[in-house]
This record gives sequence, structure tokens and C-alpha cells, in this order.
Amino acid sequence: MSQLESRLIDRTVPDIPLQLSDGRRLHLSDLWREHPLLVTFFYRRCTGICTPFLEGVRDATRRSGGLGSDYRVLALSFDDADSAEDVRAQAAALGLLGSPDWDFAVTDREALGRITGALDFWYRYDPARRQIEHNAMIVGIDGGRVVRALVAGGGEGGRMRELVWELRGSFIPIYAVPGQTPLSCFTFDAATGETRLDWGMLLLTLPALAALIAALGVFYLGGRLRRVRPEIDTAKAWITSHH
Amino acid sequence: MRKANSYTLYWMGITFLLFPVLAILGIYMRTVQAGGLAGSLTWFYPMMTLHGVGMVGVWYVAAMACAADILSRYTEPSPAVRGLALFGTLVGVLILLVSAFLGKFAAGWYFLYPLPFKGEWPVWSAVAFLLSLTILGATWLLWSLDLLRAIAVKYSITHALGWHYLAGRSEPEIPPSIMIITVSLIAGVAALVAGVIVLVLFYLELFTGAPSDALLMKNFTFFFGHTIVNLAMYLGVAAAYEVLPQYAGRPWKSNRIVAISWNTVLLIVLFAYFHHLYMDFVQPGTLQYIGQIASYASAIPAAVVTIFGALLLVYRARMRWNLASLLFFLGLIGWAIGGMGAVIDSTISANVRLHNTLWVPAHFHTYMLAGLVFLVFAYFYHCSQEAAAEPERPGLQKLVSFLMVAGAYGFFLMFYLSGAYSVPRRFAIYPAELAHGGTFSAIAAVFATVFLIGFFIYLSETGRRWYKALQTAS
Amino acid sequence: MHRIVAVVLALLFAPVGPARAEADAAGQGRILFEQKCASCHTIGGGPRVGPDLHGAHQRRSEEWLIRFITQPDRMIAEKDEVAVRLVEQFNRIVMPNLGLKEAEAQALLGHIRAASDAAAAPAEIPAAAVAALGRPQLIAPQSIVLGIFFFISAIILLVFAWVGLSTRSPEEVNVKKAYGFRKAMFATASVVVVAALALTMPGAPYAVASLKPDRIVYVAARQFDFVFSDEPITSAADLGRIPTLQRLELPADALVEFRVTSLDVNHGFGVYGPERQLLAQTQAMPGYVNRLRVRLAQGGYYKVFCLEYCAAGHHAMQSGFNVK
Repeated sequence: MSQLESRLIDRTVPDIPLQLSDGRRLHLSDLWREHPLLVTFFYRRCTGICTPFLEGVRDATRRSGGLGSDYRVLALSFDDADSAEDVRAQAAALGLLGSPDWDFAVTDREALGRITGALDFWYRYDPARRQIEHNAMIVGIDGGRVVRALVAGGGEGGRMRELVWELRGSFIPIYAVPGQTPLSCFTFDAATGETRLDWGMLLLTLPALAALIAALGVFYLGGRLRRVRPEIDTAKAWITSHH
Repeated sequence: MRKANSYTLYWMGITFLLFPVLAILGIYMRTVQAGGLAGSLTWFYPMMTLHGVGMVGVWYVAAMACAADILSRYTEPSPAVRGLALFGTLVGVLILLVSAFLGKFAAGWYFLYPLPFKGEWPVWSAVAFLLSLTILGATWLLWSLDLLRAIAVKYSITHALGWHYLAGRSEPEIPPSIMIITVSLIAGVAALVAGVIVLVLFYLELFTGAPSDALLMKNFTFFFGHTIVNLAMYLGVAAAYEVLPQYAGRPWKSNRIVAISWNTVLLIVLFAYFHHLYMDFVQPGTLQYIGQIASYASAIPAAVVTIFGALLLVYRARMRWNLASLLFFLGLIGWAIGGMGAVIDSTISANVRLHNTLWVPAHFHTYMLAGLVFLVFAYFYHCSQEAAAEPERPGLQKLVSFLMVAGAYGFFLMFYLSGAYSVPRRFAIYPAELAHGGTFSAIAAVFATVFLIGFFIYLSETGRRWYKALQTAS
Repeated sequence: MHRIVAVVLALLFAPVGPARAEADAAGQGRILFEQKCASCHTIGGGPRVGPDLHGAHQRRSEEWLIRFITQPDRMIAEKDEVAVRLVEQFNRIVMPNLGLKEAEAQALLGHIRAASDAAAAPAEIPAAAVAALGRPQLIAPQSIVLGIFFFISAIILLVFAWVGLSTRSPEEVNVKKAYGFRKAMFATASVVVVAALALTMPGAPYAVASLKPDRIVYVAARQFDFVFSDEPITSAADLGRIPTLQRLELPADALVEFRVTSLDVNHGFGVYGPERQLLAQTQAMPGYVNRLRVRLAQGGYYKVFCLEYCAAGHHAMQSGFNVK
């Protein structure tokens, strides 16, 4: 699976025609022109993973931030029997109807063949169950090329977050290490995508502070000794008074 | 004739004993890299660790001993603390030797976390190493504070740091050495506290199993390691400020520019260590750029002002050239050239090509061996000669200087060339692609031996006087 | 169906899923090999820190192999002839006791057998490449650095020599004039420093977010090898579960991003070009990923050496890749 994902990186995505849930007709490139695009596949009649999967994407993108401002999501039906009304119903079921950040779309059979072929998205109609067997896929597209793809079955959750941030043009430099102490240098804030200085960095100022306090303290005491008994050799006075 | 301080003489004895042993370890390393002594390969990394931590420690205490000796001309460091420093250092060194020779501890002198816990050596040897550093660190911290105290009972902080020069006054007159030692000791306290924090975090993991953050530990380790080496160098420079004028027959006084430059050092020296983390891309970018600016900025005021001052002092002076004045002069050259190599390496875009290649030992050997070591040797010779007042043999003293300079610079050149040829540092054996590293090593070993011969003649010159001084020491 | 849904969702969105249990023995042997052995040994990839294990089952008896895998320390202590010879041959780096049980050793042997049959013969790439090595060359950036250093050092030496020799004819110096000169020098030095900062800082290698890499390679460093993969490997448990790239090939002139981390201690990831000169590097740190971007213009074989000391096998820790 991971080999599939790595194969997809940097692939060119065909610019197929789309019909959106509100009936508008346009091309895929119209969607990725302004912002990078997160593309995922579903079909309306799916009784399996499609709806929970889309819910997962919806929640994950909400958590990661930047949706709408840095990138948008396209949920594309891969069932050529789906109509604009069907995908509209799907959007409504997810509470995403009218969302400015999400598009739900259908396309024709030929275009579907092209895009699923280009992305190695696998699906097969099972007449016995009247369902389509398929895998789950999320593809990040920037400028018509695949930035990164996730295919269900071969990864871990942090990678979804990583994909989103990468699509937004930033990078997560930290992987969690189990049992790490709270004293790290900086933390990555998943909500803002920024690295912030942490307590560890604050701890780094401690030596300088200690030196400052030590210097001020020593010179303060030395000065007092000089003022109290200016007539004697102060260096010796300190030693005799302390030993 | 001036009586020598007995503690200074003890420190000299320790330095003269440990330095050649540690230097021979260095020659041993170059020999192994050149393909010799193959049977002893398992000793390479333990000896590399001992050579590194030993040399840093020896030259730090030697420079501190010079500083304490200079201070005793103006004020009075506590004899009890001086004794404690000597005792603590000896105990620390003893434990260190046990960890290296019996435990084969080999995590390198900056023991980057978490390597001490993940090597082929037994855990006890890592504990012994950490214990040794704890004793050394605590002792030196106490020593630094006492020297600061000795300054404080004579000078106020504004005078000791020369702030009245900044305000345009030139009274009271503060010797530049006092100003430099004050700056170095204050920054030294910060470095030692950073070292203590590293050790505490190591112990924390040892006793509670709580792991530390690798980036944080790296920051603290280099805060401690870089700064302590840097400050040892400055203490050596203070010795040059103090003694070189006596040979030039001219004064070398504090003034506004000198005060500005050393106060700048105090402000920025703690930021320079960031240049050790350039290749840790996760370190926030701002800190990386601060590292380069601080490295450049700490080089200019201190080095340009000091070296210009030294050159002006010597230019057309009625100079009395002997082993002391020669080595002071040569030590400043080594500082300048090694410092230049360091500034080049602290340039981020050059560091990509030089980091952890032999360019790094190239520049630090230049300013340590041909810089700090020469300055300290000069001061040591000066002290013993002052007390012993033996007749001097100019020919022999020139030969000593020549052998040490030729040996040292030949040996540095091999490091610089290896660095430019991307030969990594700390490789016991060079892979076939970098086999030329072995050739450079062989030549370097020969030059280092020449240096060592020069050192032994120096030792016979200084040792005699040292022995005589010991008889009359105060 | 719900189970599948749960699994898929867990894999996509859960923090870090547990490693999938690999039931079959051959699989277990492969995973064990990747986790415990591959840092020092290859099967058909040539010797590394330890010997190439290709055909080891034909060279030694099964009994000997099982014992050596489970108790290498004891066999070396007992001065077993073969064990001692191997220690001598491999720079006295001894094989550690990894605490493997006999069943695990059997599984490993099974993997060595299967992998030896699959791989034709030990790779001879390094040997051939080494034989063809000519004189080392200095590439432009390195020779510029060396040139600047020699030039400035020569100036320092000349000035000191001139001042040193001037003491032969002592004379009083006009200090006021000298201080004027110092002021000018201080100003010049400051200008030079600011110019040098302005000139060199843009060359810093830190990732620029606006550039999109053409290829991403994950690198996990460990004592004492580098593991390349298309998927992030962030713990020892990932080894054997996530496929690794045995032979890495990269397109010439593409912007390649190495995402470098470490599974144990600090390592360095130094990329050496066909001229055997350092082109780029980054540190491999436990718990962090460093992102190194390089555009490798020239085709040929590139070496990777570890540039942060990491214990006894440090100098043997290396890898490489082809650029076409």
C-alpha cells in the first residue's frame, strides 16, 4: 500500500470536467487554481465506509485548520449512477451542504476512468451485494500534481495531519517519541501549524540568569565589605570573616 | 625577582604531567587512522574521549590557574578554595581515568545525549564519567565564584567591567586583565550552570528512567562545552595583556575601546554556541541566524581590538625576546588564525560543507594548541623564570619555539586539508572513498611528534626553573 | 463490514496504530532481521559492520549459527576459532548478545536461507567503485573556503612578521596616529563583517516552504546503518512493517527531500557526491525529523556517511544511492 502511495507522489492529475452538487459545471483545474485541493472519493449508495470515512476527513480537516483559507476539499463520486442530487444529499447528510470549503461533485464515466486510473484508485462492482468494493483514498493536489496521498490500510493517523499541513505549505518537524519529558525546546501546535517555544527553551535562559545573579550578589557583598571597613585590606577581611 | 605562588606551581606540575600523556593519545589516534596499530582499534574511541575531555579540562584549569595567579597580584583569592580546586580536579581526573581505562567509556568529550547510555561500554563507566564531570564542574564553579569574590572585594562591578571607561572617565585605572577575567568568570558561571543542568537531566534518566529531549540536551551540552573552551581562551589572552607589556617596555592599558569590546563579549558570548546546531534543522531558524551573527560579532571586537593592541605594543618596541615573549606573540598568531578558521566554520552556508569534518578539529587545535597552550606556556615560563632568575639561552629558546611552531602548524595543515577534502572527524578507520584521510593522518602524526619534541625541550627549560621556584615559593 | 470500517478509520485517523501481527515464521524472520541484524549485516549486499550473511547457512553448520546468534558473547569468551577470526576480521567490533531465543534464531536462519536463494550473489558495486577511484578532487565550494582561509592566514602571518621584525629598530610610536588607524580598521572590519553576513546568510540550507520537492525519501538512522523508505519509520517497531528501499535510485536534477530521523542516538546524514566531497548534510536526531533538500545535478553513485560520532561502528556506518 505504501508503495502505491509513494508511486503517486508528483503524478499529474487529469483535468476532468465536473458537475457540482449545486448543478454548476466546471473543470477540476478551476478548483485547484486558487488553492491546493484535497480530493477524496465516495459513492452515495455505499452502506460501508464512505460516510464514516468522509466524516473522518471532515473532522480531521477541522482539527488541522486552514480549511478554506489555505486549501479546499473535493469529494468526488466514483459511481457514474450518482447524480448532482445524490451528492447534494451526501453533503447534507454530513452537514456540509452550502459549506464554502467543500465541494461534492460527479463526473462522466470516461473522465472517472481517467482520474481513477491516474491515481490508481481501485473499485469493482459486486453485483451479488449490489455494492461497489473499493479502497479509501485521500489525495493532496497542488498545481495539478499529487503532493501526497493516503491509502487506507498502510499508515497511521498522524499522517493525515501531515498531509494537510504539507498541502498548506508548512512542515511538521516533530514526531512524537513515547514517554518524552515535558521539557522540549518547542512544540508544534496542530491548531495553528506553528512551532512555539516551550519550557525547555525557557530553561536555556537559566544559566545566564544564574550567572547574572551570582555576579550581582558577589559584587554586592564585596562592595558592602569595602564600605564597612575601608581602612583594612578588604580581600583579607573577607577571608578572615568567612573562614 | 618575584616569588612564585605555590598553587600556580602545582597547577603547572599537573599540566606538564597530563599534557604530554594526552598529546600522545592524540598521536596514537592519528597513527590508527593512518592504518597503524590495527590491533588496538577497540581503544581508539575510548582514547579519543579521554584526549578530548582531558585536553579541554587541562587547558581550562591551566588558564584558570593563570587567572588566579594574575589576580593574586591585585587581590587575594582564598587559599582554601585554591586547595579545594586542586583536590577536586585531581579526584575528578582520577575517576575519569578509571572510566576510560577500566570501563572503556567512549561517548566522546561532549557525550551527546543519549549516547552515554547506548554504547558498548558498561553502564558503570558512563556513571563514572558523569560523576567525574560533576565533581569537576562543581569544583570549578566554586573556584570561579571565589575568584569573582576576590575581584569584588577590591573593585566594584562597574569598575571591574570598565563601565567608567564607557562613560568617558579613565579613573580609577583598571588593568585590562582584570576586566577580561571578570567577563570570563561571569560567563563561565553560566557555562558551568549549563553543564550542571545537563548532568542533572542525565541523572534524572538514570534514576527515574525519564528520557530527555535530544534537542534540548544538545543545546545545553554545547552551551556548556563551547562556552567553557571559548572562555579558557580569553583567560589566556588576559595573561598576554598582563605580561607582554613587561617585555615590550610599554604600557598596555584599558581604554574606552577595550572596555566596549570586552563588554560586547559578555553580552554575546553566550549566543555563539548556536553555531554547533546549524545542522539540526529543527532548531528554530531565528536561533541559527543569531548563532552566525553572534559568532561574527564576538570575533570582531575582542580579536581585532586585542590583536591590534598587541601589535601596537610590539611595533618598534625595545622588545626583550625570550621564550615567554616569543610564545605570547606566537600564541596571538595562533588565536588569530584559528579564530579565522572558526569564523569561516560559523558561516551557515560554509558549515554545510565543513560541519563534523576535520575542519573542526583543525580550527580548534589552532587556537587551542597554537593559541591558548602557547599563551599558558608563555605565562608558566614567565612565572618560573621570574622566581628562578636563571640565565637564558636564546638559541635554545628559539629552537624550542621553532620546533613547536613547525610541528603544530604542519599538523594543523593536515587537518585543514582533510577538512576541505570532506574527511569526517572521529573516524577510527577511513572508508575506501576517503582513504586520503589516512595519508593526511600519517603526515600529521609526524608533525605532532616534532611538536612533542619541541615541548620536551621547553619542559626541560621551564622544568628546571619550576623546580627552583618551588624551593622558594610562597 | 463495521469491523472493516473501524479498521480503515483507525488506520487513517487514530494516533499510532499497533503493529500488525505478522503470523508466519518467514515473515517473523524477516522482521527480526530488519530490527535486530540489518544495522550491521546484509544478505547479498556486501559486508558492513559485520559480514555479509549471503549463504551463511552453507558456510557454517546450523548448530554453530544458532549458538552464535543466541550467545555470541559466550562463544567469543570461549575463544571459538571462527568467532575469534570474525572479530579480528571485523575490526574487533564484537557481535552483541541480542537476547534472542532459539526459536527466533531458527526463524532468522529461515530468512537467511530464503533471502540467499532469492539474491543471486553479493553485490560487488562498492568494490568495483572503489577500484575505479582516482585522485580525490576539491570541488568549487570547498576550494573557495580553503582559498579564503589561506589568504587571510597569509595576511595575518605577514602582518605579525612585519611587526615582529620591526623590533630590530626600536623607535617611539605616535600613539595618537595609531589610534586613528585603529578606528579606521575597526570601521572597516565592521563593514566587512556586515557584508559577509549579508552575502552568506541567504545560502543557509533550511527548507523553504514555497518549494515543492520532486521526491521525498524517509531516512531512519540507527547504530550503525541508514534505512531508506517511502514511509516514515519512526520506531524500531516500524522496521519490518514498513517496506524499506534496498537500492535507492533518484532522478538527476530533481529536488529531493530527505526526512531524516534517528531510532537511537544522534547521527549525521552526510551526502557525498561522486567527487567524494560533502554536498549537504543534516543531523539525525531521536525524536525529531530534519528535512534536507538537495538537487543532485550530476549522475553517479553518491555515498552517505554518518557525521556524528555514534559509538564503535561509527566509521562503518554508511549507505549510498544512485542518481540517474
